[in-house]
Amino acid sequence: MTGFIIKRLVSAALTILVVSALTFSIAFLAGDPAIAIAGKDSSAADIARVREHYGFDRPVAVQYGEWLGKALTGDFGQSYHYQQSVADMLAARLPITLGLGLAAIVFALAIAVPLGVAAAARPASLVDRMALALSVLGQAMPTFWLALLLVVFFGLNLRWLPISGNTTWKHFIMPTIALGFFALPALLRITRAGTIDALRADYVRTARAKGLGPAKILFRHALRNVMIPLVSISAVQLGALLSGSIVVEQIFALQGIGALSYDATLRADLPIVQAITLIVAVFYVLLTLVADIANAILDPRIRENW
Amino acid sequence: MSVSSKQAPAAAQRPGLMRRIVSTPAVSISGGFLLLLLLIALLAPLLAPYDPYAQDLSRRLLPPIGYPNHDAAHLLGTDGFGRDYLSRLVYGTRISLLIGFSVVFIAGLIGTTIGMIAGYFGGKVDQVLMFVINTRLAMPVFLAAMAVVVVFGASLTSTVLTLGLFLWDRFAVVVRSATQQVAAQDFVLAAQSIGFSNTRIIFKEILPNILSVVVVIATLEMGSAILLEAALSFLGFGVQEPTASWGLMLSQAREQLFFDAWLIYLPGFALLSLVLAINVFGDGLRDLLGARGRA
Amino acid sequence: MNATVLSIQGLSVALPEGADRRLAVEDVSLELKRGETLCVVGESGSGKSITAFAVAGLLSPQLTPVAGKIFFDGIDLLKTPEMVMRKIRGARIAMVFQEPMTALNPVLRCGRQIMEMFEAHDLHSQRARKARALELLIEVGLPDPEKAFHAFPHELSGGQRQRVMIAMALALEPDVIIADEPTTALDVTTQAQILTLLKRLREKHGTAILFITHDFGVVAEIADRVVVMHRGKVVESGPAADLLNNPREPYTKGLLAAVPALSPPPGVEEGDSPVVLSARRLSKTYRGRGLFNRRDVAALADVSFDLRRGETLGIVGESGSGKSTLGRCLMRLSEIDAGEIIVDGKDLRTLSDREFQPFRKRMQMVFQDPFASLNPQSRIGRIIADGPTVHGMAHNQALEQAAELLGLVGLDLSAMDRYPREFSGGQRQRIGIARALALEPAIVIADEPVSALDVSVQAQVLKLLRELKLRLSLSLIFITHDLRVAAQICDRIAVMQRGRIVEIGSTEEVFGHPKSDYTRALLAAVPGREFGSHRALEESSNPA
Repeated sequence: MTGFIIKRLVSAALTILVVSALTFSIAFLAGDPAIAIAGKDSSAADIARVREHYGFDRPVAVQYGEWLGKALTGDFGQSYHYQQSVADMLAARLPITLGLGLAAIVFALAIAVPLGVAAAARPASLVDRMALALSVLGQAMPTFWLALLLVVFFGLNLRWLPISGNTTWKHFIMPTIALGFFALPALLRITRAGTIDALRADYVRTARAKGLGPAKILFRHALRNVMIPLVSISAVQLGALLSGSIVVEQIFALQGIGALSYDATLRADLPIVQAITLIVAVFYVLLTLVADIANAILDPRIRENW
Repeated sequence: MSVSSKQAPAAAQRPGLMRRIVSTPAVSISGGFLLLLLLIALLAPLLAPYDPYAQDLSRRLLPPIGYPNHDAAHLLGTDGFGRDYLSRLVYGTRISLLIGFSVVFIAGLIGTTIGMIAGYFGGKVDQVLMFVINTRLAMPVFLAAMAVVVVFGASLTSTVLTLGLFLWDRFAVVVRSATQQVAAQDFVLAAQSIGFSNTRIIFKEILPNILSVVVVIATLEMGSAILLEAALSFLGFGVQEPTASWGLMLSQAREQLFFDAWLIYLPGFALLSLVLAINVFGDGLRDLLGARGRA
Repeated sequence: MNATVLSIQGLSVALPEGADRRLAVEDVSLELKRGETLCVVGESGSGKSITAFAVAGLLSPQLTPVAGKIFFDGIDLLKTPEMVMRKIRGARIAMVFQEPMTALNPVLRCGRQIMEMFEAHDLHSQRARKARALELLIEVGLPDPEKAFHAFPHELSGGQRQRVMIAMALALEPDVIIADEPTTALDVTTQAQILTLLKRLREKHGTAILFITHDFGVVAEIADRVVVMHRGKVVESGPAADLLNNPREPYTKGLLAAVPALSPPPGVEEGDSPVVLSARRLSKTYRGRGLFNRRDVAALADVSFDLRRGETLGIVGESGSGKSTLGRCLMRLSEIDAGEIIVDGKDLRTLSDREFQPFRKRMQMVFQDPFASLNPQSRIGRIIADGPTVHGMAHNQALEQAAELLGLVGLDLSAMDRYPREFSGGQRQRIGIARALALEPAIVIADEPVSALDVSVQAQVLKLLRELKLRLSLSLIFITHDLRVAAQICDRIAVMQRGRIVEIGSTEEVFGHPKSDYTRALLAAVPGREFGSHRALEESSNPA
């Protein structure tokens, strides 16, 4: 088991390295960062001074190495535009994005699991059709459009919910719903398909042959086997939510990582962009590792291969 | 006795694919709708009542039919620059479909190739390619797309290229799995024992047997690509003014949100229906082709 | 004296629309008496399993009983409400399924799954359940019952899993056990142990067993009475001894005649024709994967043999013996680690891929699974013609040759333009043989070519192989786990166990006077040893 974890950690570290290196190098394609910072109309001497101050005149590999070294200690440098430590900015905003992401996943699972199981247990029934309709609709829905509609309907017309800012929990209701709908279809499909497969499996037939009732069969036999793919997909979806978060945070004016990345990219604020990419990659890698471990706990056959 | 190698039609036991498509309502309706949209896109210049780029600042923000102050000259009203909304909606079909097809083509090509090579050769090759796939998955698409756009400038081309170069992961993963299953079958061994080269085996023995899977993923990814482009354009990182993209129209509509909410209904609904039709069609196709993960 | 415990009367089960016939099971009647073993035997598609599932009410939703009654303990099971059926299942009528790996829940421990039997019927306290479960594991002969109790299904061998399933079936001392091909997925030695176990348990508990199988050897071994089914109908039934020795119906006669005897036909000479292939000390080891628990598995260890021109050499063994690996290594589909394969004076192992290419025309392979050995997207003509085309023959000429080969294997010319899915298993194997012959090889390696076929089809394909071998002067390496088939078609036999050849000699010697303990155990394990036909390969009258 430890051998497996070590291999995964090594491969994870390598992935993070490659991703951060790629981001780093793209930043340098954006044109001379010294000009971006100093402003287009600065004199050549000013630009040269900026270049020297930030160390842009050194080879790229050296700059990367230095950045990486500092990043490992939690120092992501200073933002070009905000004059703050990037680490501080991230620390302030991460909780909001994470909170939103978790709330969205919980929201999505709370709908997907009961609905998916019920749909699978009664194929072609009303519940099943509803589940299919919901998953198909959810997959086709542009998240940002849903967010706008929510704003118009609940925010402007009914005036039930606040539409921007992040001070109270009420501010998070609509963003959670919008983002939750982004994650819902995949989870619903997996639950429904997984339960259908499990109910058709040979071991369920054996359980029936023993005289077990449908409830015990569903919960003890079928669901335990559905959990396995569901956990993996949930972890991956959590990682993907970060992408959707950018748009939602923008629309609802939430001060999370997503909104920050939008601003920073627009302004070519490299330290922030590089830091965020690194954080996101680390998160993704951690989440897949957690998913793998969870799978191993749930499925004894996987432990065998370790 | 001589035998001609003319391709006589095979006596299939099940009705042909086209017949099955037509007889399944979900697939035929969504397929028909898609065909309709395709026609609209192709015939846009003939169908749109006005030039989508023609501005008339004296006739800004006229509401569509059903609202007070509706002007009969513009059925669906005008946007913030006085451009006819209906015409822009019609032309928006072109952008979305163009994005959909070209991104899926590029991503499909890359992903299918990677998937087949990883799935067929296995071993070290597979490990390396899986690492590549995992690295790609660790990169947030949206963030990376924005970054690339900032570097290379925002345009239709850069959007297509970026999305195409990012959205191949699902192709690769699914094709890899399908290839592994096909390659485990004896007829591949038979081909090897006859002396076929690996290239020939991949293209003539394996590819025809995974094509249905590729088609299904292609339809699903097409929907994803269209939504992603819309979101990017919405944030200003995709297609730029004055091109008529539904995402861009929504971004402008957002500025008018407090006053003229109707601006957001139409382009969003257009996106929803297009992607919905694509997904329903793809799902239906998958059921017909029996390509669900090879049960 | 012997009361009827289960009575099926006029049962008919309908298939869903679009199937090849309307009824899966048509007007089937049979009686199971207390304490007896009734074998329901038939080929694939005979409806035997469906009949069994109908009794327990476990038919899949697309299959509906449309006529008939199933009487058990005075009630008609077909009309019994589900709540009552649940009480009957497991407690009065228990089932043992074919594939123990999938029939057991992979994420629950075996002991738990046995305890569930008691739980389903609200019996005993938790502690008593555990004790009873352990007793059952001991009774079914598991060597380490504690370990089996705590094990997950994948941690046990196939035979052990099936014992667990039998323990579950016995738990509540049912009146009837329905066993659906319980030993088909097992090795022959394991199968023998399970059959012995079932016989012992039946005597001890007096349970009636409804035993579904396709293997007449098994029938000969354990049946008291037999019912023969064909395409959904009962063809013949009666006491085992009567039916096996004096079948009345032509179908039964044909079926019985197609089962090869275990003793080889007399009068096969060991010739001294030249050696066409020589294997010397072949070895192949699979390296263990775990970081700490590396278990290297020797797939082949020091394997040597000669193949003479015109002879059929059988490679016989159970799963894990290395026989399939050997076949693949000879064809260079897998690489050996050490040893020599000498054909036409050249050691194949030393050749580069390009140098090996012409040798592909000397050796060809026929594969086991008729449904996986032909590319579903290619037409038959192309499948057969591809080989010669790759080796330089003109396309049209290759197609002509393909047509001739189809005739040679007994298929109609119209097959050229059709797809594999339009053909039955036996026909696909013929196509596979035609493909192998297209390159005009001198040596054909057949890897379990008939194992996936029904017994009557099997006989026909074997007959075809033998004729072709004689006509084309082929040398045949015949890999199989089925000793009966080997006895009838092979001139010489090599017995493999765990990667080694433990015995090699003429078929008569190996089967008549086995020298190795393992060979003796293997022969002793074949069910129904005295049973079978010496003329199986000549008389196969039932249509494929």
